[in-house]
Amino acid sequence: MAINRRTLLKGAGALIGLGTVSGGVAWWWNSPEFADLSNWTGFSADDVALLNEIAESIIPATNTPGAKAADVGAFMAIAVTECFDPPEQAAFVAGLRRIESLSVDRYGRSFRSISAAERSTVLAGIERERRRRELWNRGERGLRILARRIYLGPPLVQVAHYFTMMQDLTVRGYFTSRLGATETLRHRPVPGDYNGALPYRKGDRAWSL
Amino acid sequence: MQSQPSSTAFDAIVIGSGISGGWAAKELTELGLNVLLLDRGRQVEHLRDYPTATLQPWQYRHRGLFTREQRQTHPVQRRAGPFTPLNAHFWVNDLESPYTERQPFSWFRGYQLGGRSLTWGRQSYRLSPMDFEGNAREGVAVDWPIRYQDLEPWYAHVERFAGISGSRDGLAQLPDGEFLPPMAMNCVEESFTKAVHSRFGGQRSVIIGRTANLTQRHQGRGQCLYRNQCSQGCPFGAYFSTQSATLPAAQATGRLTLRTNAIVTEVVYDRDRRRARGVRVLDAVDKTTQDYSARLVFLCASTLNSAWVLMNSATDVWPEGLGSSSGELGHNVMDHHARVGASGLVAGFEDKYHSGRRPNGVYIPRYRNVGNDRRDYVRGFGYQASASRIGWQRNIAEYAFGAELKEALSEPGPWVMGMIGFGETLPHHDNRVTLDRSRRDKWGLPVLAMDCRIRDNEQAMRTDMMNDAAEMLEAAGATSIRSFDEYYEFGSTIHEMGAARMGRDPKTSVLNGFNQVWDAPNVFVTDGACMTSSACQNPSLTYMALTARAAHYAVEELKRGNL
Repeated sequence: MAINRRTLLKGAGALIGLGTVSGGVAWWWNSPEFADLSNWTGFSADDVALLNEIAESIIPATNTPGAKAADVGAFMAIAVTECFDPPEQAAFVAGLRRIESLSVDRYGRSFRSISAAERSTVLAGIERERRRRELWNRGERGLRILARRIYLGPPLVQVAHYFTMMQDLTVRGYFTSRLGATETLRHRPVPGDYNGALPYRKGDRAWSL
Repeated sequence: MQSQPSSTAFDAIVIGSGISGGWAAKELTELGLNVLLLDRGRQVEHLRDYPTATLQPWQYRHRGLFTREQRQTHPVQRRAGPFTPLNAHFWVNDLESPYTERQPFSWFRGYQLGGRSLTWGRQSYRLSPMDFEGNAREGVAVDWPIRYQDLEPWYAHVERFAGISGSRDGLAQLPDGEFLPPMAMNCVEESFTKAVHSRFGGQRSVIIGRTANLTQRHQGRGQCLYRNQCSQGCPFGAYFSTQSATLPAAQATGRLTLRTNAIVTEVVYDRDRRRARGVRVLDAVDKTTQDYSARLVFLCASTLNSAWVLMNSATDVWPEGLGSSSGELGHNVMDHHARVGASGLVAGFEDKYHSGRRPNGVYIPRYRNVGNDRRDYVRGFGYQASASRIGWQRNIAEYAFGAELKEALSEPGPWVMGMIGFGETLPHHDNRVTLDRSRRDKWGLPVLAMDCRIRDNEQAMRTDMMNDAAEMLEAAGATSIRSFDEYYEFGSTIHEMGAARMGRDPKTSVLNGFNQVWDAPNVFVTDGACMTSSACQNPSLTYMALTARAAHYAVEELKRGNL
């Protein structure tokens, strides 16, 4: 199953032709969104540390541990390296760099060094951008036709927005982690039986699987 | 246990070790025959070779995502849900075993000991009298050479051993069997059941799925503990598979010889005796060839591969292969057309949840063209359905990040109920598979070419399949109902059948009423290839019953000196 909380366009399907170019125009509009990975050697320890801070902003520690304690950054690095296709990797890495540069531009410091509130401000801006792009992709029919008429470049690659990828990977990585499954959710690896009318009160935790 | 058998002569050879082949091996050995069981794939030993069966979620390196490599080596297998990152080792490498799609066709294969018995959906239903009579009544294709009464004792025979849980519902179109206690519906499914029953005046019923999962200890196997990880292999042997059930029974006789990595390239045919002499095997690893002889051959290589073996056999007598004298070998391929139905949200049960992961759902037996119901198409469809509250996998539109998102995903979502229709596909002469000699697989063997599509009758049925689902959800008070008719691709339900159909006349069928190849009566084809029509019920239980019946008949015929 694909990364499915918000569907990440699947690998082989990611290459699209001119027939569905409106998504490509969205890419063009927000460019550059793809990093040049020709000399990329994978995520560094610093990258993983940054991913853990981003993950922690998405799933923070509350009365239960957060994504950083569950080392979700390490999972994200594995997933992007071993599961993603090259265009998705390029979008993800560009997104990671963009988060860092937004933080430096605005606060003069790395995302890893700014406060939780400042991180929220940075991510809220990215989330607004992501939603704008979703709207555009769903787009008005007339606009899409117009986009097709004015765009004459080569076929473009369409992948999910990098922040969608980060959200999906964080949620998956956290709730399948030992901490997430056993401390935030309820975990019963061998249930033993089935109860189809278990009493439930608001606030009761979901099952982990 | 297997390696190279020391002998090359046996009473019987069984080709393929999936659901049908496992049954053939069990029955034939228990009836006193020395049997060689062959599978083209690797050895999979019960428990030892289930690498993901007992892993915790955090022990999966990719946490349920496909790796790039899995996607690259399984471009066909990943077209549908049964192939998951956690059971990928039980599905064929498509790059090694390609085929040609004259029209889109999804072919899901499990090339290992146990075949797809390891990963099957386990829903187990009998066909009914009307299913065996339909072709004759409506003048479709050819008549089944058997009736429900012929198969009834054999359904009971295989149910008693396999262990099928279910309720006795007294429905003429879905006969009751020898069931273990049923699994339970949840509160939303129970409410849905009542609503459908009252809205449609008892003409439609909803029953708990009948499934080959044990609800109590049975035949030395453990009961289901509701993990719902069946397709990764069950540590308790709680679902029916070759490894959990038929193989140990066959081995217990001391008369079974097993050889894996054994690709049968042809049934060796003796044109003077008009009988098979045995089989030719290509070793999948070292590529050596070995002939084995036997008085009896059971071909259970799965529907399309059984057709492939026949097409490659006795070509010196019949250029199109053994069984082709009828002109029907490779023709009349069927599947169940699916990927159509509806889903919706069900309110009013917020104070209820479920616990345990039930590997089963509810079933709505066929009601179209049953009794007084008449439609502008023939035959009908059933639904598999279920209700549940989804956890962290659901989309939370309101929150993108932060404590609110975490909190929302930590609680179960609303009850969602979904229904998927499974429609009968008519046998059509032009739905066929052929050999494509222009392409070769990893072993240099010619591949199959598929040329099948659903036609007017199926298309007309799909309109009802979609609308009826939405109508029933509406009757049950569901909201936000979304009905769908997604692109259905032939084969994608993994219920492929036909290609070597049974019949009453050697001129129009490949097999007779006991699954014997008309042109070689000591060759029996008892997997899905033999089906004369598809009905709309999940078919594996019928293959089990047909196999057991044919095995007992074959041994009697051997004793009578007729083979």
